[in-house]
Amino acid sequence: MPHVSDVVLNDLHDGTLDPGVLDGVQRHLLACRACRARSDGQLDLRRRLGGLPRSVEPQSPLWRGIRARIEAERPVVAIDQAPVVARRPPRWLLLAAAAVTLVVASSAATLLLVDGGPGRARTGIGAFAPLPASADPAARFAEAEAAYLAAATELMAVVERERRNLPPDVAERAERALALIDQAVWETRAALASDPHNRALAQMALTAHERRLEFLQRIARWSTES
Amino acid sequence: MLDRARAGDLDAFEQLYHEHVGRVFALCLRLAGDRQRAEELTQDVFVQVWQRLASFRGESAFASWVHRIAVNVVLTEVRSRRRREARVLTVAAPDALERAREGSGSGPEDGMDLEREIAALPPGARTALVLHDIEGYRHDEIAQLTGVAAGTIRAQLHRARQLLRKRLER
Repeated sequence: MPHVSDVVLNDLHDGTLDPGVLDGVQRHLLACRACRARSDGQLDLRRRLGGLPRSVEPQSPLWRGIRARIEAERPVVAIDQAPVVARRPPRWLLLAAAAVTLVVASSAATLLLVDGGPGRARTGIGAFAPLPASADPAARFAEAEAAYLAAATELMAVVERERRNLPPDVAERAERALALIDQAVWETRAALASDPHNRALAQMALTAHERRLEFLQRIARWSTES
Repeated sequence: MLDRARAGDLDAFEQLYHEHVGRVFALCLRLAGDRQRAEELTQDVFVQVWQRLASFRGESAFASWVHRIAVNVVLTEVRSRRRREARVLTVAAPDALERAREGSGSGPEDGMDLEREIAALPPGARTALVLHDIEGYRHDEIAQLTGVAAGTIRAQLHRARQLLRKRLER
């Protein structure tokens, strides 16, 4: 048998060698010192690669930048102005703030759409049923929110792609309205985080997500039709 | 902790970050071949993990889920920066990895040489080698992640190993 190529040796060690030639290759390796040396060399490289650390700590502290980006992208209204103190506002205050923001956000979005959008009819997308009485609110919320977020991500991609089609003043108003809706979403989530099994909060958070999704869908349609 | 993070608790998410950042950063560093870029990518990964937390259903281990997001983030970025990736050798990445070698099985010189040579591999070969021989992905999984045919992955892997052996024997 001719010498075994490096490709065949790789396949042998990867476990992907054609079974039809496996026996012949193994017999050759037993008899041929040169091929065995190359095979051992390959195995040694794998051993060294396998011994490399799987975890490497970054030199720079990255968390602060990550947190800043998360907070910048998902602004949460500071109810308590004290900086970086992990003191939670009273639950009733979070709930009230979330409710007020949601109403304001819905009004702002509605005004924008009624004022200027070509499509005024309600789109009827993603209207999730109210939380059933028997459901665990936290589980139901996580499931519903995942669906909303997935849909919103797709729509955001469309909006980002097509936003140049919107008149500048409309784009600016849409951004402001979206920021308000985002604020409502994240305030209701913050309230829910303080009381994960509160059905009213879960329902309010889902309503905020639904408003956001409706708004994004309308803007996406508007920008593609413009 | 995970439930709290999913409910929007950033302090809980910070703890998850500290648990997983080493693994994510190592992956970013080896695939990108550049320490500064790896730090930026690591930030991108954790921002995406936060954004997608609600969609994590617990069907796989959280660490695997994070790792998969990291691979996707890095490969997407690497593809878009292909021209920049064509450079032959970086300096910062092997230094950072050398520090990680201290205290591990092989001597620092051995690890330093190997990391430096991995960073110097052509991007396609490096991706195949890191994902297969270090991270343990199968050929077909790498093919799916990279959008490259499995046969091409095998060829790139073979090339990477050949180049590494040649350079390490010098």
